[in-house]
Amino acid sequence: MTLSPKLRNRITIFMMLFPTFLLLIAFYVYPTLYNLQLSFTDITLLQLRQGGDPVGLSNYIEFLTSNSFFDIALNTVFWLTAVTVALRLFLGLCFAILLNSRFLAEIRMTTIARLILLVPWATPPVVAVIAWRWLFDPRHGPINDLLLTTGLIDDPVAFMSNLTTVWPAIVTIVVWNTTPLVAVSLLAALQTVPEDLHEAAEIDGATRWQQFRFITLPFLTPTISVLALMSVIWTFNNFVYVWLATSAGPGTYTNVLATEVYIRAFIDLRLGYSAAIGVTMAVVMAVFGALYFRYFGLTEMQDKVG
Amino acid sequence: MRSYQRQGLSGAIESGGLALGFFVFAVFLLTPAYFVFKGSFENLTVSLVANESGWTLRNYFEIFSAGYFRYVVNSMIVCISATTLACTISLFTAYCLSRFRFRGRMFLFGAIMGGQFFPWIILVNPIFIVFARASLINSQLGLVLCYTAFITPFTVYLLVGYLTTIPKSLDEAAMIDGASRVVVVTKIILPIMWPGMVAAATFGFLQCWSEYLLALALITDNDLKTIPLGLYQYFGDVQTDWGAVMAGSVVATAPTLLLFLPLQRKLVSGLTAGATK
Amino acid sequence: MKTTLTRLMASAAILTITSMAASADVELTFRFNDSEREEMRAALDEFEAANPGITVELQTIAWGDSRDQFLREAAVGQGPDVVHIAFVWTQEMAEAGILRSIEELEGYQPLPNGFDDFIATELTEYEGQHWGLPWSADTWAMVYRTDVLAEAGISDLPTTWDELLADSRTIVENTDSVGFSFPAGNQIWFPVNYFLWSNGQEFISADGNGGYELGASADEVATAMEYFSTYIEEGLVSESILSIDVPHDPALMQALLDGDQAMALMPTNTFRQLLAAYEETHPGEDIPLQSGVMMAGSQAPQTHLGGRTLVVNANSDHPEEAWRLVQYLAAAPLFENYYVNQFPAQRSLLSQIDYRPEESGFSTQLAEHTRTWGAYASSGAGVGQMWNVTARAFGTALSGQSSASDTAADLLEELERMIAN
Repeated sequence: MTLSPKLRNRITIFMMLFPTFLLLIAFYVYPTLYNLQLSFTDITLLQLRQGGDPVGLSNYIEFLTSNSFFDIALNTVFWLTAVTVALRLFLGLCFAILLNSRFLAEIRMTTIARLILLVPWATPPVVAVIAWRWLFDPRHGPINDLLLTTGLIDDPVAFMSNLTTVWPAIVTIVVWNTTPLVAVSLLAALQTVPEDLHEAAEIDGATRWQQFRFITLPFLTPTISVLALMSVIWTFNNFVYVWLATSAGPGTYTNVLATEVYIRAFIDLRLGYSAAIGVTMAVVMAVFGALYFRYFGLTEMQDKVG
Repeated sequence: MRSYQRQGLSGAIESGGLALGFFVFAVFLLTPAYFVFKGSFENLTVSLVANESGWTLRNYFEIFSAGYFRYVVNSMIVCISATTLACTISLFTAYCLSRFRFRGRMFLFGAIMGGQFFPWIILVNPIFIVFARASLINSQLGLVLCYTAFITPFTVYLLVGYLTTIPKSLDEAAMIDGASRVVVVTKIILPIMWPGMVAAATFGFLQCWSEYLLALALITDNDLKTIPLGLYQYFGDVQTDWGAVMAGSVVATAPTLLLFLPLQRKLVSGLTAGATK
Repeated sequence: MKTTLTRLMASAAILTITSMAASADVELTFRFNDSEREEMRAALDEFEAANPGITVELQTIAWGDSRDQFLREAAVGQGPDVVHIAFVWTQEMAEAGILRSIEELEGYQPLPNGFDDFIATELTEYEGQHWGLPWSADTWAMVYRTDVLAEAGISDLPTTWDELLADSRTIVENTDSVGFSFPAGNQIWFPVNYFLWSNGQEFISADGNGGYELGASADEVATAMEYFSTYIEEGLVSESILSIDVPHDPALMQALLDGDQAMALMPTNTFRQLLAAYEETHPGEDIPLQSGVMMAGSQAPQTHLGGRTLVVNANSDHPEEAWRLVQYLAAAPLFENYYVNQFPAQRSLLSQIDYRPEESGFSTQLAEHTRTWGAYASSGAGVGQMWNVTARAFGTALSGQSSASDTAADLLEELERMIAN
């Protein structure tokens, strides 16, 4: 019995996709639908066994009309997401170029530099936060010591408590812990840039900036757009850094959507209400993702590179 | 060659700039870690300032006698299994999505990405309920599956990205020679994919390595606990054992560095093979 | 004590015989979340030796997560047999239907001194029955660096909130140290309540008709906010306390060890850690640390009676054996030999505790000046939620994001909504 090539292709496609989709259905689709259902009830963790009563859209209305909604949304979109993602892409690119440079190879530091890059990445967020909080400490922290001895400040700054410094401090921690992923990915992409293209460009008299702009950057674009999208999604949904660093404080000053979900679900035990916040977040991300795909879609990437 | 052969002033400025960049890079990335490393060899009890000068191995003795090694082994088992599994299925999925043109392709791709849109913390309770029904509580298999699902969307996306840099002519040539798709993926694509695979695996492994909330919900048996669970035990309600926390953190970080030392070389050798040209 | 022990041993022996005849091997799981794991394991080994046929697995998870974890597990019919929880979780867990009542369990084997020997039993009551056995008791008290106080020329310990503030000013003026410092993040909840209680107020009180109402006015809550705010505004403490959640924060502990801070408040076990750390750094020296009773306001000082409860999971297949384990854990020998850092939550045992001289403030506080969360817990508002919104409101006011009066009004509105639910 021989199969037609078309059918054989279909079977291949199916077999190649099947394991992934089985996993995704079990771990994403089902829990997500379950959550969607919870978001229309008043269920709490105490009634998990009995189930909650349907309350329609009231969880969504309560959340979207609450006083704190605007602040939380702004914190999440601007500070937690936009600032950290921009910074880590920029720094990640700088690090990747540095690690790929001849200079590091000349001084035999490439491997060491890669290992250094891995250190923050391998550090669990809880440890990263402890270390940084202590570095930021007004009495014992080296950062304050440094700033005081260089005369940049006259009094120690309570970085994690002062309203003007608390967000930059959190951003620093997030960037420290997450930039290595970006840098390593960009480094791997940099290394796929064929050397002879640069050589040819050099012969043609292209400047370094032109080489970077017209040869390197196009090769990096797919990776950068992947990383930007993924970083936005993870950071938007991440509660660990803010929660461990400030517990969303002082007061509620650094509260973000993900910590709000955590507080509602794990402290107030209001599963239904927190599910509604989660669904709202998922919708925001889905819209963002769809728009993003539209402008930096996969097909376009392939046209560019393939 | 291109940069370093430059002579004179501009070359010196460039080298100087890069050296300065490297210095800033190293200081920024290492200072917090150095602080943790130093602390792990100090007499820390109630604070992060050492009680007395001089170094000690006390913290390490303490955590290992409390069974910390067990957590390291468990974390290794779970994270390596999940990473391997995720990278394997992602390779085929990514290949499929990048090489075949079929209806619903973009939809499927979007669906994989869509999994990431939901904040994870909210999935903890539903996943717990599913696992309880499937008797996968306190099971390493359960945690492996969970982590695999957790990291797969990104590894797929990452690998799709890398596949776009690999010319299709390469697999077409092999197909003409009569190779099946599976052979193409494992024998032709995989060797070229190493940088991407290493990056994906590094990402996946480290993501699992520090995961706390799901492990907390799914693993309560002390013999199956992973490192983050072990580490959090030292944060008590009315006290924190800082020496143990610091030593535990170093032990949590060291295996990943050791594991990726050989892989880093692999990454380089995969490149110098020059298959992309 | 001797008689208790004998009686318990005798009853355990009888139980052992009957159960050995009846049951095959029973495996129990005990979730215990304090740091004394090695000691507890040794105690469980002793229990296993005295009860052949029963083995006990010891589980530990972080305190902060143990409430959620047990609620989740029990809801799907799982979880450990015996669980170590906080006093204030008992009622909500009873409401969730995941516990067995003491009345039911006493059917297997009554408690040797009766349930009334235990303190804070009202916190375990739900719908006329009791759902947990109070296990250990604790509270917070003041802690002083006596040498710093002496350096500042303060001879008598402060007794009121006003004196505390005045002394803090004196210390900052006369020494390089700060006076009173406190965690102004999450656990500001405790000093805030102590402040209100000592002034005859509370967030929620019983209205006398079986209902509940707010027990403090917006002005009164704003006064409390302004009181704690003064320390930051006048520069008596660093603003950094706003991001400090707990009294055992390393920065606070280090300040006390170095003598950079003269006055603090904390739970007993945190103080014991501090004493041990001081002894380690200054071997053989006199310890300049002393504990004292909490501040008074217009009325006597009051702190919360905190502690832990032991509960039996409703899903347990072996309630009888689980109850036997609970009784073993609540008996005197455990506190004498294994769980020595904790105070038993039983009147007959509490009176026999020996305190170090430095700990006298804690013993007085615990014996004479504590109250339970009372209406906070029984109103159903949920201590955890109240704690969260209160700490956030104080953080908002103390960091200067909004005025004390506005924040206090918002907070009370939120609390009122909680009572109504």
